[in-house]
Amino acid sequence: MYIKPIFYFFNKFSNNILCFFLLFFLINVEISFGFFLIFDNSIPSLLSIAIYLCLRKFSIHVSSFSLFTLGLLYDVLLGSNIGINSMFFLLIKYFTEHLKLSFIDNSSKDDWIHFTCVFISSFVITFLLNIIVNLTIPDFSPILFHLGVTLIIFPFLVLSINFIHFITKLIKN
Amino acid sequence: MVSGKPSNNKTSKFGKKINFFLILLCLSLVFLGKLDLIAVRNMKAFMSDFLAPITILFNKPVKEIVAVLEDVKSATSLREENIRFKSQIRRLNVWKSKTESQELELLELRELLKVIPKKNNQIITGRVFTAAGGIFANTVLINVGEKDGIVIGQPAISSLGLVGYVINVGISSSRILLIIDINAMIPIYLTDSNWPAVTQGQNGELLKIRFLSSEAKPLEGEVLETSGHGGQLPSGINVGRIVRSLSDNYYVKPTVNFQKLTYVSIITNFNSKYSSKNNFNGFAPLQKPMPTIGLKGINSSGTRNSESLKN
Repeated sequence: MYIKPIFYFFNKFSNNILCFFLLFFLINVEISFGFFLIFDNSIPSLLSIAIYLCLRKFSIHVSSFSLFTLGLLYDVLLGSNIGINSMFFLLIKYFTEHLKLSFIDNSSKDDWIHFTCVFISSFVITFLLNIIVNLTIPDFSPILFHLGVTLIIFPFLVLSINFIHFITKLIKN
Repeated sequence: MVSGKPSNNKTSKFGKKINFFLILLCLSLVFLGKLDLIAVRNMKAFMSDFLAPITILFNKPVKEIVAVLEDVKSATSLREENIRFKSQIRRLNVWKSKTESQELELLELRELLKVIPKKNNQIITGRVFTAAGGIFANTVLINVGEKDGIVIGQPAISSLGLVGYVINVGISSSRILLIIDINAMIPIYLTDSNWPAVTQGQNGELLKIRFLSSEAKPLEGEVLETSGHGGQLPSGINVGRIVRSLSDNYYVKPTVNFQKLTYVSIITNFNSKYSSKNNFNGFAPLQKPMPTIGLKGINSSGTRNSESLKN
């Protein structure tokens, strides 16, 4: 089978574009979550879950440029400092690909622990940068809520994805 | 077999380098953005304008769902609400008669003292189309912009009190920095004791009180209003009430519920010090303070006017 490099890159580019639009859709969904009274303090980070699942579970390569652009759009939509969310998404990507913990095997059972480590380490770096830039320590309750809700949502999302996968497999059979 | 796919090792190394480069770029962008350069500000305004229709499109179904949920919630508590409203109406009627007599008295006193009448605010109301609740910033976008006469620095209010002020203006949309944001500082005064102070947002529910004199003894539930110091905001806009924490510290609970913001009014006729388009916000040499009219809480020399209070 001969595949010319141009087709390989074209395929990769089209995949990236599709991924970009899906993640952009998710950004808007995430922002609109702010209208729910339950997310009074802060909204969960659906995008970090999506990036993690794309890279680790579905083996979809999300390019760094897409994440960078998505982060900039996210910053513009939310009005936060330009570059903060781009950095957060890039760190999520970096840690997902390179963070290897000795007490975790690569099975899907330990996904939650791995995601927790990835998410918290990325968040701490971004949060510290934000403190340096603003020269003020913000209230911790929305931050803890944000972390907690994101970590609670993650296993539910994984379970529902597994369930959908199981059902489609059953239908196919 | 020849494959078009480049070797994995080579791509991963290249990808790692790109990732690092982009992280560094983000880091520099964060600091560059903090400098508040005009180019960055304009780019943000343009992008906000460009993305506004998409955001409205995505937020509409969610807003509808939230409205339906609230309707269901209020339908279940209709009886209790009815009883509560009835008692509230009775209380308001008593207040109304009291206010009417006081208003007449106030008008007579104003006439006697020849007080210059307060200028009526000219407002433009816009619809909020993003929700507050970002982890690093608390801002909202509204659907009025430069074409409607909005300028950076103009105060934003709701029927309950101060919401924030305009920080970025596009052609058809503007961004408002909410008072709960960490970068928002509002000069206020305590309405009962007349002490001036400054509130600072914490990206949470409550505002911190800063620069309050150690002599001041705030009361729980005391109302705070904008003092007008600094010339950025007009005086007399309701900000919130004092609340006391378990650690005996005082905070401010804003009167506005930022989660339920639907419409925001911008005061357009207030000549803010910072609202001029061509105003250069650079560094200027220090100048001797000019004698000015005493503002609420302090006299012309900048100290608290205790004598006037006693009188």
